[in-house]
Amino acid sequence: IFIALFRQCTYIEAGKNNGIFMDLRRFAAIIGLCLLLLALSYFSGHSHPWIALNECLEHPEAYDGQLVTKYEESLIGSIYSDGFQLIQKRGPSVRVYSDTTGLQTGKNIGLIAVFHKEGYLQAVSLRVSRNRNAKIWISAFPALLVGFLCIRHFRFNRNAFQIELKEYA
Amino acid sequence: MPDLVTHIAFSHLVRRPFEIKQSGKSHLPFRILLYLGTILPDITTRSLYIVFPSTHDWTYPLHTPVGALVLCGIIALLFESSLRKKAFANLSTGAGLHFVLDSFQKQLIGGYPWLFPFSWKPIGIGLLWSDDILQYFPVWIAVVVIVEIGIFIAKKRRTHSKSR
Repeated sequence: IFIALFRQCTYIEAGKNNGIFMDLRRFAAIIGLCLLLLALSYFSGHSHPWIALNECLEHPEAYDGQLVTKYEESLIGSIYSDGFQLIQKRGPSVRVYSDTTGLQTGKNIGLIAVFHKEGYLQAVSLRVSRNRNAKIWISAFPALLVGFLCIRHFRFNRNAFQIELKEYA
Repeated sequence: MPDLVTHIAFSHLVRRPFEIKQSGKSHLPFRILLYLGTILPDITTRSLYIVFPSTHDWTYPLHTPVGALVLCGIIALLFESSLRKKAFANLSTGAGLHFVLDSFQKQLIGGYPWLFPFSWKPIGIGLLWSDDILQYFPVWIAVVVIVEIGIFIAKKRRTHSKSR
């Protein structure tokens, strides 16, 4: 958006503008809503209630006995008789003590667990997501289809900085 | 979250009855915006944090009603003035239908914080796990196809009886 706005400024200088600066209220509203979204994002990033495993591993003493609910895309690694190895997409893997019924190596897992300062987790509740990858692939198709339909029926008028219906649409 | 096929099929089935009496062609662009609104909460959050897990906390507001509404507002403002209200209505209705469907999903933590930024309390009805919902996506497609065939036949009959 900011790059596009910069382009608008250059249009003004060139005396060609018929775009967003002819419509200052819209310009102000877009900037205002973008700032609001940034504020929400900042608030979420700093005040969320969940405790991430990586935070616990960085400060084990401070998080001893705390309930961990957030992992960086967690997968089941090796399975043992009394638990399993939790593999994160980003961050170290951790030993989890839990019931091993229904666990399957390589599958995604949702987990709520108590962190112990020695560096392991005690599962409180867990759920294996057997079809997560299938869900992602199945979801990719409609997302691409909607993108294609948008391009087919709408066009972005750069000079006016607005999306318009294509004539035949 | 249910898969996006389920989300789109659900919003399609909700919207279609409102379009039956009018010509389908003029509605299509706005139906596309409804679909876009329906998938918006997931494509602006899930697609990012699956690839970059560290973005989870920052993009999370986009999967809440307030955040989605703000995003729909920004997108609607990018439309030409004659389309803006309709674009906002369709995008935000789509996002709303997304959250309705997500409310039925079971979660380990109990639900989604729909009242964000006022509260982080998870809220949800929690009927089905996301994996269980996925099994029904062919059913959703079949229902959409049956409904569309039904509408097509009804329209044909109506034009036929008018021409007589």
